[in-house]
Amino acid sequence: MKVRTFSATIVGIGAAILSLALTASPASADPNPAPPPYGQLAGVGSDTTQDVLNGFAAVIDDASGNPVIDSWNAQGAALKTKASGCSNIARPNGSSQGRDALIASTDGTAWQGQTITNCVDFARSSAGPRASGTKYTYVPFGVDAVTVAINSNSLLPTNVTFTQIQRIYQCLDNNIGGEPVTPLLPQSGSGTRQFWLAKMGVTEADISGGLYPCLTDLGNTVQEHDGRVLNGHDDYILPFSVAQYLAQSNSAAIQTATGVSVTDRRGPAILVSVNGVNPVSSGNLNTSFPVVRDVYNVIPTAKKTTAPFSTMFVGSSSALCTKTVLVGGTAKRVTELFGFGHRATTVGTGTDKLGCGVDVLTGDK
Amino acid sequence: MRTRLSRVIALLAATAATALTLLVSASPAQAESPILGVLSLSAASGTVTDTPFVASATTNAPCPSGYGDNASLRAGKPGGPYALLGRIGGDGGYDTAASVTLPASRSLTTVLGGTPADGDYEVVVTCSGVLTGVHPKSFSTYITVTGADWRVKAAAATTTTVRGSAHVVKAGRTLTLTAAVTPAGNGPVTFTDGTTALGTVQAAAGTATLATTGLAKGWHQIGASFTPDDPRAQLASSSKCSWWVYVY
Repeated sequence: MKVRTFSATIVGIGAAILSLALTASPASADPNPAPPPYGQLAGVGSDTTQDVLNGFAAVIDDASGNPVIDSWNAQGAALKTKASGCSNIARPNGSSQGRDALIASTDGTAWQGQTITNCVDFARSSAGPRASGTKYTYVPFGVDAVTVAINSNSLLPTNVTFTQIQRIYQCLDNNIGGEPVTPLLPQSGSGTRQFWLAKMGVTEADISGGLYPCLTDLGNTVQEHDGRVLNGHDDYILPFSVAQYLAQSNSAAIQTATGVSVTDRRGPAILVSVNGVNPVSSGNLNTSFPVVRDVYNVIPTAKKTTAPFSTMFVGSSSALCTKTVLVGGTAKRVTELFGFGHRATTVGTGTDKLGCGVDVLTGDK
Repeated sequence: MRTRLSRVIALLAATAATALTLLVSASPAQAESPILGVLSLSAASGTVTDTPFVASATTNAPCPSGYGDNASLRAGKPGGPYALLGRIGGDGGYDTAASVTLPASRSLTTVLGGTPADGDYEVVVTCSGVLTGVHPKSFSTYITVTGADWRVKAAAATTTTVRGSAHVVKAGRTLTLTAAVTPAGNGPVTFTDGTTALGTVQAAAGTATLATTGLAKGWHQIGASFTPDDPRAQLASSSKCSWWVYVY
């Protein structure tokens, strides 16, 4: 970490200055810190978890003081993921492409026309398996939640029932307590939109078919994780990732502790409780919130007992489940610093609320 | 002894007859109150720019069953429309709690869209259910704005008097009781014989009448009490002087 910490700091400061000058979007080293040297584990995929993996990469070192994890953001230029070979790889954008690239890397099939064998070690995924099987293990490391955000100046209630919000997103109701509401959707293709619509019982096909005329993405301009769209609109309600909201509120601490730049784009947004449960508890995501999803790192099952896969990802004592950094003199779990919840042990008998590092959820895709 | 027994029997019969009378004739058209109940403000007066308008407002009853998911404190001209004085209550259970208390966060001037003209305004708490919508009635109180000040508008006192068609009546004959409420008001009037309720009749334009044939022999002290349909406008009152009637 020594050499890369220094470079990361320089880049971080540079990024901060750039942000001040241009109010630019997040600009961290990619990966963070920038190689060389290259880490042993190259990860690609989800934008939802790219920041927190950048954070882990910055603070988890091997015995030589070098980073173990290189995590590439969802968007950007073509990749070079290893010291030799693995150049000019088309960058996987999002959970699906990240897993496709991992599969190509593992079984030697082509990724966007290119052979990338052993170039990708893990995929960031905010969704579970797409096909049954045991080839890949989805190891959860955190919990995200989605709720609706409202303008802090609005007088809409700060608690709603799940039924109430479902009825609004199904266009059955157009008000809360007699006050008009306008249900927004983030831009098409965003993870938050997909997750939220699934919870609301609404399909994209039916939206396209005109069955939900009350829903609007304002001409596809509503950016995911950006509360500034609420400015001046007391009637807007917007699905918002709680992890993103908390990460943005922790942006200064994140910058200091990890060098990762997270831009605070919350604007006037405040988060709403659902069924009387606050999505935030003691400054951290409340894993008991009614609308939650686990976030995963996907690894080849064949490697799950091999270090550094095992030491980084698998089990409750793995690095991603335990790593803390000092924030204001107090140790804080990296997962929670970046806004995700930490679930120590599995809740229930299913696989939708697994404990951190539990390795029972598998799939072939 | 036989005399006393026959009196007891007669009394029992009379009581039964009274009960029958109540069943038969006490079916007045029950006019509905225009409101769910009254609203108590945490302050009785203030200025139109006080922010918040008041700390809180409390209803005198729960929201109607099925309308307890949200409750909102609003203000406007009497009869509406009303704008929000504070954040909509979203905690739910407003139809099961004994009362509903909501905080205000805005001033009257803000809510009314500018400095209000002198006159009466209404502060309400509305109740709504996710599946039922907003209840058409609300908890309410009137306030009066004069210049930069407002105060709760007090309800007017009323006077209720009662009289009968006769002071002496033969058992089984009809006795007509009339209650007069001034200033004329609408609301249920309950006629009483001593401490026994004879029946309740809806007063229209200040007058309520009850015909009874069921009074037992002997002296009766008839009274009447009025409950206004709209407690914001009028206070309840009871007859101070009774109508005495002898049944033989």
